[in-house]
Amino acid sequence: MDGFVSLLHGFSVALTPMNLLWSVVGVTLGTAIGVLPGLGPALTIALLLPITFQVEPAAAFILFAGIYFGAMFGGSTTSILINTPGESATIVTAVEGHKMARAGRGGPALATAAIGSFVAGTIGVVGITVLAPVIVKWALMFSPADYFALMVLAFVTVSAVLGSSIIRGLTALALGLLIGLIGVDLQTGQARFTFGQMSLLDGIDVVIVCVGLFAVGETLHLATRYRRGKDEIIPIKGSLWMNGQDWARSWKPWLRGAAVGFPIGAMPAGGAEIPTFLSYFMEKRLSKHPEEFGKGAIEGVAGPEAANNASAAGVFVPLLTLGLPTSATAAIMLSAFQSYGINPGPQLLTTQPDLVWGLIASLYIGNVMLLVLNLPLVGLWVQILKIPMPYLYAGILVFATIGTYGISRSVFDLGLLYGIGILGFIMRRYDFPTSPVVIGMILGPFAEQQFRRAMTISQGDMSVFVTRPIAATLLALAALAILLPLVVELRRSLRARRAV
Amino acid sequence: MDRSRLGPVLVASAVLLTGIGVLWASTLIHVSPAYARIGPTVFPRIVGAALAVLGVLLLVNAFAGRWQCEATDAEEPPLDLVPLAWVAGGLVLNLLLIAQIGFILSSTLMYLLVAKGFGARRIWLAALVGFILALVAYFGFAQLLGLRMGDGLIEDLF
Amino acid sequence: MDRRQFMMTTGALGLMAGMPRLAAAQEIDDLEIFVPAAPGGGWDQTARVMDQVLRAEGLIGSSRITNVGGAGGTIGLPQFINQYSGEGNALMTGGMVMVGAIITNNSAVNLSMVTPIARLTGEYLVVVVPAASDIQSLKDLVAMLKADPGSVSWAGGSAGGSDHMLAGLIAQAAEVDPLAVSYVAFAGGGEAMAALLGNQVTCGVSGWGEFSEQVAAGNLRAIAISAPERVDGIDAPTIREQGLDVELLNWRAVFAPPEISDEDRTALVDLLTKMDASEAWQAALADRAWDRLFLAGDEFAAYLEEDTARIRGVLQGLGLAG
Repeated sequence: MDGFVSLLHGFSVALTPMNLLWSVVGVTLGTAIGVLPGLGPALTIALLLPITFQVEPAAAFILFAGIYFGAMFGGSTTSILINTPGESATIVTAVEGHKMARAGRGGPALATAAIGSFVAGTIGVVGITVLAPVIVKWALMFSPADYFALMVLAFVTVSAVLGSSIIRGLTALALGLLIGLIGVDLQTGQARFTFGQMSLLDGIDVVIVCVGLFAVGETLHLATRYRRGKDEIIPIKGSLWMNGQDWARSWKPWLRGAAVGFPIGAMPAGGAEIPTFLSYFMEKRLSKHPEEFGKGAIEGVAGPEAANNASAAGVFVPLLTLGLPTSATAAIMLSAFQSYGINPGPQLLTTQPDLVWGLIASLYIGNVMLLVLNLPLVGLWVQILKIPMPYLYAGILVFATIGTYGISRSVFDLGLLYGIGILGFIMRRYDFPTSPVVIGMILGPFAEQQFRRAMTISQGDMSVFVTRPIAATLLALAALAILLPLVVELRRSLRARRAV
Repeated sequence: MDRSRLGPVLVASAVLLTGIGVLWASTLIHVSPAYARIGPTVFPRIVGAALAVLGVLLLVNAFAGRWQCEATDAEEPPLDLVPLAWVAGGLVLNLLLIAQIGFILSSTLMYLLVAKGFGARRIWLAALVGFILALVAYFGFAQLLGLRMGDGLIEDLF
Repeated sequence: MDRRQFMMTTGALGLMAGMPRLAAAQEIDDLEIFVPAAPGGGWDQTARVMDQVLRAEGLIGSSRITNVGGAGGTIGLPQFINQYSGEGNALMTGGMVMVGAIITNNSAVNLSMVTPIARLTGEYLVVVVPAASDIQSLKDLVAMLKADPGSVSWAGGSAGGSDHMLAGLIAQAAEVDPLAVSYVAFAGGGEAMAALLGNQVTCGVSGWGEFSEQVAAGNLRAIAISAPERVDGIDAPTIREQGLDVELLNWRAVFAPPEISDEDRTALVDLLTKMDASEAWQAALADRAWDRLFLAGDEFAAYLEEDTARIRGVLQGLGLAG
C-alpha cells in the first residue's frame, strides 16, 4: 500500500493547472507527430530536451509523457485510417484496423484503440506502482538463450498473419528476414549485403519499410484500380461509436493485451512489437469469430493496442527501478533526468521520490488527457476518409516523404522508400501478404543476435535451450502452439470418420 | 504460355534468383577471424536457402496455374496504367528534384501529379493544397522542433 | 547544386537572409553546428549543450544544428567536408568512436581532412563484474583469460566500438590473442547492463557513467579503469597499476571544415576556449557527469594523430581493419 500513498503524493506534485496545460500541449504535439511516420516520440523528445533548461522537472516530464502516449495514439490513428503505421508497434493495428475503416467501421476501431490504450495504460501504471520490484527481478533472469526462445514463440505467432497461401506467406517472411540482415553485423562488425553503400551500413529503417510497403504500395495499387470502381472506401457505416457488441468483444482483449504487454515491455530486450504480435495471435486463437480476422476483426485492434500501451508503461519499470533505459524513448527520458543533474540508477526511488512518483503520476495524467482529448475527436478523425481521393492519396505520399526525408535528408532513403513501395504493389498484385515482411525484419535480427550471443556465452553448447527452465518452457509453448491446432484438427477428422 | 501464368512464373523466378543471389552474396561477407561461435554468414545462408526453396515451390505453383491472385484473376479488370504513370512520375520527379529545389516545392509538384493521377480536375487547387500542406508540415514540425529539413528555394527565404 | 553554390545564387538574387552578418559584440554571429548522428546521442547532446551555453554567454548570436546520422558518423563526415569546406562559422561534433568507424567502414574520407579545433569532454572506460562474481581484480580476470579465453564472456557495445577496443587492448597486453576474446555485443539501451545484473556474462566494459550508479548500489564491482591514473570519485584501480600497459579515453571533440583561414581557426579555438572556461559550461558538465578534458588547437591535432594510429593498431588486432 506504500506505493499508493507515494503515488498520491506524486499526483499532488504533478497536478497543477500549469502542468495540466503542459499535458495538453504534450498530448496534442504527440498525436501530431505520431501521425507523421518517422517522427517518433524519441526524436521529438530529444529535440525538445533543451526545454529542461527552462522548466521544472515535473512540467518537463508531464510534457514528455504526453508526447509519448500521444504519439502512440497518433500512430494507431494513421494505421487504422490510412494504413500508414507511424511506428513498428502499430503494424498489427493496421492489419485489422484498416480493414475495419474501409468497411465503414473506422469510428469503433479508433474508439477501441483509444479506450484499450487507456485501460492498458491504467493497468500499466498500477503495475509499476505495485509490481515493479518483482517484475524487474524476473526480467533480469532472461538470458540470451531465453530471449531466443521467446523469439521462436513470436515467430510461431507469425502464422496468424501469413494469409491465404502458406508458401507466399513464408516467402514474404523470408524477404523480411533478408532485409533485416542488411547492414553491419553487431557481433563481428562485418558489413552484410551493403554492396559498398555507406547508407546501408546501419541497415534499413523499419519505418521506411512499413511506410513503403503499406502506404506507398497501396497508393500505387489503388492508382491502377480506382477508375474501375473497385476498392471503394465507405467512410462511415452504422454507429460512429462502439456498440454493445463491440464492447463485449473488446474488453477481454484489452485485459489480455495488457497482461502480455506489461511484463514483456518490462524486459530489457522485450520491445513493443513482440507483445503486439503475441496478442494478435492470442486473440485470433481465442476469438469466437476467427473468420473475421483479416477482414476487420475488432479484437485484432483492441488486443494489440492494449499490449502496445501496456508495454510502453512496462518500459518504465527497469528505468525507474534500475536506471536501465530499454527503449529509445526511455533513453532520452534518462538524458532529461541527467540534465537536471540526477543520475538515474537503482537508488533513484529512494533519493528522488518526488520526481519518480511525479513522473509515474504524469504518465497517468497523460493517459487520461489522451482519452479526454481524443475520444471526442474520433468523429473528426474519421472525416479524413471523406477527403476526395486525389487529395487524400497525394497527401499520404507527402507525409511519407516528410517522415523519410525530413529526418535523414537522404535521397537514397527516399529512393528506397519508393522502391519498397513498388515491391509492395507487386506483392499486392500477386497476393503476397505484406505484414510478414515487416515482422520478419523486426524479429529476424533479434533472433539472430540473441542466438549468437547465447552460443558465444555457452561456448557453442546448444543444450542451453533445453537446460534453462525459461527457454525450455517458452520453446515448449511454441511447440504447443504449432501442435495443438494440428491435434485438434486430427481429432476432428478422426471423429468425423468414425461417425461415417 | 498464357498471360495468367506468365506473371506468376516471372515473380517465382525473381524469388528463386533472389535466393541464389543471397547465397552467392553471403560468400562475399568478410568473415572476421574474431571469436564467434556462429559467424556472420550462417543466418544469411539459411535465409538464402529458404528463399531459393520457396522460389522453386512458387515456380511449381505458377506452372501448374494454381496461383489465385488479382493478377491472374480473369474477372479482374486489366491494369489501368495511365493513373499509375502519373503517380510514378510524381515520385520520380520528387526524387530527382528534392535535393535541388527543396522539400516544399518538390513535394508540391509531387502532390500535383499524384492528385492528377487520381483524377483531380482543378489542378490549381491541388497545387495550392499541396503547397500549403508542405509548408505547414515544414514549419509545424521542422521549425517548431528545430529540425532542419534541408535547404531549398522556399526554405531559404526564412 | 550544393549548398554553397546555392548561397551564391540566392545572394546574386539579392536574398541576403542566409548570408552571415558581421557584428562586433559576438565572436561569431551565426554558428552552424553539424552533428554526424541522430538527435539524442552523445554527440548531439554535446552540440545542444554547446549551443545553449554559447548563446547564454553571448558568445554567438544565433545558431543552427543540423543532424546527419548513420554508420558511426561516416555518413555525415563526407557531407560536412563537401558542403562546408572553407566556411569559418561551422563546427562538427564527433569523437573517438568516429575514428574507429572510419577505419572499420573503410570510409573514403577521414578526420585528417577536417580542421581539429578542440577536445571538449571524455570518458574513461571501466571493466565491471557482477557483485556475485568471484573475480576481485583485473589480475583474476587476466588469469582466467590466459587459462581459457573462451570462458570469459565480455559484454559491451557493438563490435569495433570503444568497449570492444578496450577488451582487445587488455587481451593484447595480457599476451592473449585478441581474436580469441569472447566478446558479446549488445545494442545500446541497457541490454548489456541487464546481462551483467542478471549474471549472464563474466564481465562488462563501458563508460563509467553507464555503471556508476550500479556500482554505488553494490550491484556491480568496478575492477579497473582505463585512465592513466586514478580518477577522483571513482573507486577503481587503473589498468596500469594492475600490471597492464593499457589506457583508453572515449573523447568528444569539435572540428571545423577543411580549408578555413587561419584567422577563422584561431577565432573558433578562442570561442571554445572561452566556452570551456565559462561557469555555465562547467555546470552543464557536472550535471551530466561528463569529464572536462579540454585540449585545443595544435595539441589536439597531435593527440588526434597519435590516437588514430593507436586505434588502428587495436582494430587490426581484432581483425577489423586491413
